[in-house]
Amino acid sequence: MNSGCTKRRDELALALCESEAFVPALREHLEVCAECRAYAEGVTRCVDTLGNLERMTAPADLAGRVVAALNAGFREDRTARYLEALSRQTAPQELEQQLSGSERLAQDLEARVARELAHPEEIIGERLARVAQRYEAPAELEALVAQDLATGRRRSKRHPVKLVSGLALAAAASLVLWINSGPVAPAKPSLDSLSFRVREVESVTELNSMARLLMGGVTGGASEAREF
Amino acid sequence: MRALSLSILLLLGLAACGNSEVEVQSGGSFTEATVAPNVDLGLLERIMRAPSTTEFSGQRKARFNSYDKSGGVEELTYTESVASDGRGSFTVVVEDLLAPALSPARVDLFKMVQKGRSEFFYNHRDFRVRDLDLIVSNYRLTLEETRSMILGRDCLRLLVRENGQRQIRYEVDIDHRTGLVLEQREFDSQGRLASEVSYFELVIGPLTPQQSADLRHRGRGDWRSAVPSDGLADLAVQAPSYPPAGFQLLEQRIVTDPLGDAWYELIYGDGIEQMFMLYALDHDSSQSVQADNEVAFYRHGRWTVVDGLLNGERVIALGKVSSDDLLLALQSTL
Repeated sequence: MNSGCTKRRDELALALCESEAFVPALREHLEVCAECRAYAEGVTRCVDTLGNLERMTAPADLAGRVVAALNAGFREDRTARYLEALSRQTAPQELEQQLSGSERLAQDLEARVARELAHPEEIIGERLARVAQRYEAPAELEALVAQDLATGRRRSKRHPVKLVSGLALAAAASLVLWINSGPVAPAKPSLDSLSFRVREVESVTELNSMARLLMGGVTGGASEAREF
Repeated sequence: MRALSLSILLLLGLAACGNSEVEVQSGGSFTEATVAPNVDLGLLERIMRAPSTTEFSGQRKARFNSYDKSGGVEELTYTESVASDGRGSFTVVVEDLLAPALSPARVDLFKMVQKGRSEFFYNHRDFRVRDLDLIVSNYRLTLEETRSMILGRDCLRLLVRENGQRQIRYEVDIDHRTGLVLEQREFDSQGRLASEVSYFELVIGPLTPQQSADLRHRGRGDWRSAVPSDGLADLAVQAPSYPPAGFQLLEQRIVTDPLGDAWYELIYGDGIEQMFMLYALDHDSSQSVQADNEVAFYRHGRWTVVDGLLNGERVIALGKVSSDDLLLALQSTL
């Protein structure tokens, strides 16, 4: 929106409210400013909505309630004046110490929160480790670990060559299966399996602007005719 | 499939020396292999190409009826001027609003809003043959025996019925020589008139200098500067695995809306009707009226639009399909 839009918008709101024609300068501006056209559509809807509202009569005691509310407001002014008139007192030494302690606590808390936000998995892991029940390892395991540490080498449960050939066989089998069946297509969805919420709206104005524009385009403007 | 439809067209052409009517059904078989003498080989192809290859200008009246549940009708009728240079540039400008009656400022606003929709009116609102293979697969096409003169032009009447459940039905009057659609009427599932667009002035031939200047000035409208694209953007949602039955992907491109926001657009078609999927590029989700993983849908006549946020991405789907079909297509993008 440029600086000229603000003035134009007042003019176009007035024209729409008063059911007058746009003056040439305003029309020229609307021709080139999509934002003001969208604004004008919004004004039109507001004017219609307000125009269709039923006129209500003010309750008989409204005037009295307004006066009472105003007086209630004056109470705040009186309180402020009273507080301003009080003399200033010095705070005791203990209060100063407590306040400086709370400042350190706040800094510490802030640092902890920052760490938790930066490394959430680490923090969760630490907490779980602290609360998990501890069990004694079997004596055999202790002996095996001690032996490995003494010899300085790890146990190898699988021969590397056997592992590679096993993987190759599995890959070849998968390839044969894939060639025979083709790539797996995603399952056709059903209305019961929608992973998003759906709601039907009564008016195109409840949609985002691009959706309104598209719908207006394909329907020749009919989808929003009642909005003008 | 393309070979199949071309062979059908060839048969149409060979039968052109016969007598009265042709009916092309799903799969391309003729139930009545009789063809009006004025039907030649490329009628469907001429209809498909005419809007972008014929230089013409004219005035037409467009009327759209919206029916409520109690059968009441709201009518929108306006006149518009149309011009095409036959080389891909065109313009459609709403001239006079005939119904409903609005205040002068509202009429101005209505016309201005429609002005930015030239491309949509010309390419997507109006009846079009968009794909020969798909139209033969999805529709039954019948040429009426009688011919008529519209604005001094020799016209054929084509009746179009969808084969599936959507009950789409058109009645289209076509200029025999150029393939231009001069009158189109669409009917709803209850047989009521849904829309009607008809020329009341037509000049087939070179545009005036003023019309040519208007075309250069207006171009293709102010909000769909299309950039052809052949690859999906890096988004959390993808092209639908299950578009509605009969629809195939015809085009994908990047478009810009009037406020300058870019969208990735996929256009699907069934030969006549279209479905659009749009994914926002660089959108601000806080501006959306929907929460994440929530969509709103709205129906107007046969059209459904779905608008929402899926996995944080702004997505819009609209098409002349049921809301169920559109929602399932949307689900298959995840």
